[in-house]
Amino acid sequence: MAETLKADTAKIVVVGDFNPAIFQPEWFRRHSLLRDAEVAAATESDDLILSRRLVNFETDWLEFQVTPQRLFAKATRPSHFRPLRDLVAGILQVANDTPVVFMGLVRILIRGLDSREEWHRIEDTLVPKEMWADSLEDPGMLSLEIAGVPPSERATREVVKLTPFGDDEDVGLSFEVRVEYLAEELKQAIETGETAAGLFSKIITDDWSEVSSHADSLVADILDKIPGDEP
Amino acid sequence: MSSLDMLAVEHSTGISEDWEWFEERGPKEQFLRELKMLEDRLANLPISEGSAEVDLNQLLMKEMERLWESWREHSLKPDSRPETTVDILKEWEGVVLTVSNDDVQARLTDMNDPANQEELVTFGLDAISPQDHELVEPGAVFYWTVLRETDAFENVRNYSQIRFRRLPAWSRGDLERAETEAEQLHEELFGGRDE
Repeated sequence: MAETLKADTAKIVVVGDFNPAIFQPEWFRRHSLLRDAEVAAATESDDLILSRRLVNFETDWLEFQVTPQRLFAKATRPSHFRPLRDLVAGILQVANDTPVVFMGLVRILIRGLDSREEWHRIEDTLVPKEMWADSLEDPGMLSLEIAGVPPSERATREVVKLTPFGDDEDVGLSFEVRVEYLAEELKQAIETGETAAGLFSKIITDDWSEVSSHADSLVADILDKIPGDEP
Repeated sequence: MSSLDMLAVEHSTGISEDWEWFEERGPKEQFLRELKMLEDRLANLPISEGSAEVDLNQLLMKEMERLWESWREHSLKPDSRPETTVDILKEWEGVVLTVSNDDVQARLTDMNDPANQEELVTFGLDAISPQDHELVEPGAVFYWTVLRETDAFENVRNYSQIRFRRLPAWSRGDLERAETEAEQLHEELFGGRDE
């Protein structure tokens, strides 16, 4: 199989009760969470939106957004996955009293494939069409989501979402590997005096490397199991 | 029809399909205009008991998310098809040991294979972005990455970058809290604080 890595991004999503208005680029400068030049770029960015219920900005490596229910940060270059980890851990450390309920550590790996046949081979292995042939005409997989036991014992579950994409010339697969944490299930640790946001901050720092390398090996492992061309 | 249903109909048939305006002004302006209208609605929601307002609030928040997704689609930023791909060839995590004149001595851990022996290196301060100079001090952590960038024409460029870890600055409140905790701990351990 001759798949190539076309894109690799990392996302951290935290669900809770946020006050978006505080997360303006200047706040990041004040807390030394971004470089001055990055704060300046974010402030001048076309994507800058500052409103009571939505703050959104971008830098050369970061996409950041907060709504009242969700904080989302995404690094678009692998060389910035660690800075992304530090950034969100830092945000939760500063905004330590923010009520948070859920966190997802996510890698999205986009693999380009050589041909549509390769794509069909993967599809037929993961979701055999014989299962559907009697009920649906010309069935095809749009996406596949699988949940399992996560690599970190503090996480609640791991979800892998696989989505094919492409046209006649350009085909590929997107693997989203998401490790989910529920504050509710970390209660025992929280009872020791740590806030949920503080705990999530530590978990990001502790678990990111393992979660990230697990995503790499999971994708490689799945692709290895896809049968090759018939001779 | 409930007020919730009416609001849903209004949103699905009215504001969002104002395509003429959309094409004239562009997606971001459209997005901002709709966002402002949603925010005004949220700000004017009646505050009373019962779930109707909560549902309404959630509906509006969902609408905001839908708006956002719609804007992202129209802003044509396909993150799945970058023209340039960047691969990490090698990655180290470093800790600064000493800084003297313009030289930085550091200990490096191989992040590709942490079992490899740690290495001591010395490099010039000019290898570090001026944006990070204020962070360069003994104990500071940095990431040193060697990258390969391949553009749409398959031109390859190899380069390395150093980025220092950024931690939140301590606020006056943090310092006061830490001092109080230290005093309490001292009291518990030794029964009083030495002056």
